[in-house]
Amino acid sequence: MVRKLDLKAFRDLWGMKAQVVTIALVVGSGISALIASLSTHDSLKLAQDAFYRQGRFADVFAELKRAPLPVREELQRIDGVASLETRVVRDALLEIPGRVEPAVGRFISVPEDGRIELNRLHIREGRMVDPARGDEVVMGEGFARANGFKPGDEIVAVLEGKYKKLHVVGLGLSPEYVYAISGATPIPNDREFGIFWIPEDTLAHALDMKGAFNSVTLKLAPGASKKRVIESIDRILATYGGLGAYGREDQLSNRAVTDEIAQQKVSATLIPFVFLSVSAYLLNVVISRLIGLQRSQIATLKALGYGNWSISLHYLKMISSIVFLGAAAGIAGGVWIGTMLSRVYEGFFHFPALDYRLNPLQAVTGVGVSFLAAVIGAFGSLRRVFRLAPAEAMRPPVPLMFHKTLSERLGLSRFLSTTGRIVFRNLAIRPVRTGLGIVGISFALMILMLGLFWRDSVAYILYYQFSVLQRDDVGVSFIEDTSRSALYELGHAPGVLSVEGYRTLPVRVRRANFSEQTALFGLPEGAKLRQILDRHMQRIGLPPEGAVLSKNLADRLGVRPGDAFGVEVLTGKRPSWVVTCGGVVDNWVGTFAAMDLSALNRLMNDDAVTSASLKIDPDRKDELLAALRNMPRIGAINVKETAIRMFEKTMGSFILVYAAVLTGFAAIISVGVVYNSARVSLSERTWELLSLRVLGFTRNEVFRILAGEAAVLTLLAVPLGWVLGYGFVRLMIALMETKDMQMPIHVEPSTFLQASAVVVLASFLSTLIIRRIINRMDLVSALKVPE
Amino acid sequence: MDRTPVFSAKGLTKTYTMGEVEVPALRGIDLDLYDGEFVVLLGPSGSGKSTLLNILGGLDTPTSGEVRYRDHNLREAGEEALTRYRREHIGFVFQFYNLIPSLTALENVVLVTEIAEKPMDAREALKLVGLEERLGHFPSQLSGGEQQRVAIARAIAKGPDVLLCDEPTGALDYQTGKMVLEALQRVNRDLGTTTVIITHNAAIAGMADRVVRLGDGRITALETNAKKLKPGELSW
Repeated sequence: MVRKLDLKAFRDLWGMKAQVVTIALVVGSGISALIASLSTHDSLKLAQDAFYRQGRFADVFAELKRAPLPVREELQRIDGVASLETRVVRDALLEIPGRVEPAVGRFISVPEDGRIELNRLHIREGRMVDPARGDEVVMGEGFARANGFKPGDEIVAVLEGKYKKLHVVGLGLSPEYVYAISGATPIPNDREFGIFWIPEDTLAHALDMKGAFNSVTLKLAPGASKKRVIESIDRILATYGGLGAYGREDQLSNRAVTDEIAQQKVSATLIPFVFLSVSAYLLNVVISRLIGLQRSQIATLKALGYGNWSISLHYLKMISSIVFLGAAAGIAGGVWIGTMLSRVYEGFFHFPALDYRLNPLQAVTGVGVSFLAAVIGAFGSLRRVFRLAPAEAMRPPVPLMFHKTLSERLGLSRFLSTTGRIVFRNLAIRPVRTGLGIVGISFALMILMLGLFWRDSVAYILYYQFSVLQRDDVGVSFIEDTSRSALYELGHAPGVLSVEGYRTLPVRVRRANFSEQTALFGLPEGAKLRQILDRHMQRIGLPPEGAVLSKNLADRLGVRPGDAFGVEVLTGKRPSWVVTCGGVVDNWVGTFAAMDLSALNRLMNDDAVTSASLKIDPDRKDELLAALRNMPRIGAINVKETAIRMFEKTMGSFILVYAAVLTGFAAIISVGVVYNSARVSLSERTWELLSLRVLGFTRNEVFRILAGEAAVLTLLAVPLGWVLGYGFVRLMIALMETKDMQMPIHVEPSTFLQASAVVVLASFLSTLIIRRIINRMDLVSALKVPE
Repeated sequence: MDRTPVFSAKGLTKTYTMGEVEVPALRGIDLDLYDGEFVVLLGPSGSGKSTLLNILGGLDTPTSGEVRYRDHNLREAGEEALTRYRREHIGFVFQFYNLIPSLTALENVVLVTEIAEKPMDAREALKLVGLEERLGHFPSQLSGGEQQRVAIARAIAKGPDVLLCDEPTGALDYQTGKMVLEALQRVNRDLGTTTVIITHNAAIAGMADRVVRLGDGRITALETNAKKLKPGELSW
């Protein structure tokens, strides 16, 4: 007996294969989203943990000007230090044959025995340097890949004005530079910034650092107080130009990676939650309607003697088939998307192994939730059918009691054609169903906006950073504090139109019990190439005395305009001042304090700058870059154009994948809702629509009624989708905010329109499938008993 | 009465293929129907009367033979031409009324006048079937007889040349059935619309000009009534 029912289940499924496929795809996209985002998050986290463990990533870092080697012993004796390493680290310009754009290398010394204890190098290709051979280097893999270097190649570095030819013997990765940024720009640029490991002797010799070090990294003993260790280090290094020790959480690369993983966690929780809810919801709605359509069949089965249980089991089998079909597609899709996302991350996070891993528990969760939603939808409908006596259920459902809609009673009906009234009254008589349909489609729009808004936010940040904040073409940093007169020399370099000099001092700001290390910027009066702006892009003028603070810093310090706070300079003679807060800036990115350059120099009792911005004649860029490379005090050169290009390249692929995936999902959801709504309408009203055909209505005219219903649903869903989408974007951004970064909520009108266009198009395509069904309808059946 | 036939069928056959079985529904029909005639097609179920009506109404096409409506060759007509043909020339009345549930009585009639070339006033049509008081009611608020009369009003409102009625009283009780037949007779008499009714109710034959008896896919008898009865005079 059950066998025959199984056959029916199979045939029923086959008979509605288009519906089965569209529902299965909705289920699949929910499961895909869950698996892809959660597993990507897990994979990143695993890769980070593994690399940090294997590479013995340090807990505390400190940079200083120069300390003799014996100071190391003193540092090692600090209570709570498990192991400590000192080294020489220095940035130097690189010469790459046939290239005008500058590149900077960060050179890190390798101890004489060739063994790095902390932040261990992971050799990817070639070998470690031989300390006996002074001209060997291991090159960071990211830089090598971006610039086409391989072991065996040569590169020239400008160390203290001296050209040094180096042989690349290997490519490596370090947990310290998973996210390889120099600190000069917030965006990684593998083409222009590379890490190099070089024998200590060679580096020390070139930099006149023999028997000395300028960088310390250490691992804490279990249970040690990081704060106390940092204080001890700062005390010891104060006399050696210590720039202030800091923990792993403030280490640039680690902070970027950890923030990204945290943000990924937000989207990994939020997006699958949305998806799975949407797909569960749709599944529930669609399944309950399908069963509603089968009511007379169910009654017949009951009349034949099948019990509720075996009928339920029958439908359970049908639903399981749909859910598991979707699950199979979803798991495959999830793994595929996850792999793709991991590959995108590999573009800016340099892990030795970022293997995508599927967590079976997540797959089981996804399938389970979908299945549950389907079962709840199905049993709701089944219960309604079971409550009826078989004889009653075999009769067609009681016809709906149509009435004129409210708007019609208000006299709006004169604007509606008769077929228009059919459309509106059918939507109005089932307000719950109509509402659910609208909500379903608006969810698709919402998901689309989640996928597309990144593009706007990133474009906005790009615009804010590079067109508003940073109006220069080329930025240079000096190796150390440099007299302002150096700006004249720069001003006379070929192609320079204007030049501005700035000063950045590492400082510790204090108030009451709170202290924080940050940067104090000095900007010249009337600066044009660099500005301080609030989040409304209003320019903030600097007071003649006192400092302006970013809002996040002012909040942490508890400082308001007019309040005084302490500033301890971490370089040179390390003066300490009391400074008045001259203003608070509500900005997007970064923590900073800024002062008028002259005021800052007065406090420092000198007249120096640390960096400069140039506005240049674009035609003479190459000439200028060549000239800049020959100026000995210049430690780094940043070309804005290249930075933008790199940013677009790395973020571009990320945004593309994200947008493509979510667009695909949203299209699936739109088709799922619209097609299934229209299909159910068609099944319920075949007889009515056929009657119209018999009366002489063309296929087109009949199609327009169903298409009209779909169009009304879609058009009502669009504004709702905008609201939901924008709300969700806000929520997601709010959850992703970190200490230093707040994302602007910026959604372009074109994004609203594009998202709407995709949904409308998907709806339209779904109705085209319906059209094919209408074309195949058998007219004669309309004259028989209504079903 | 004009003797040029409105409909002309010659050697009409229709065979349905159901899987591997061929079921002949019409086995060679020769029939002419004339302008203004009131014809009853009488026969038991399975006699082929519905198939014949469907072919005349452009809902189905014959397997072989000729069928013409005036100068239209219905056998050769494609789907679009048949839709236009139904739209312009034919009014249908069905056993189950086939009203649009979401439209009121008046709107059901207007629906058709909107697509007709020379329609009559929708209210006029409803008045003709005695429903001028029920214009704003939805089908679910009307009795079966009332619904069928709305269907008749809808069929005549577009000013069809032919009214084709498939068991118009099949779902109605005796009294209501008679009211519906009266409405049909009035339409035929007042508007001169050629009317074809198919039924298995032999009593209805009394109100026809001609009666076509069908059995097993063939015409078994063609009778002309010397005296047409009023629906009130019929009994079954």
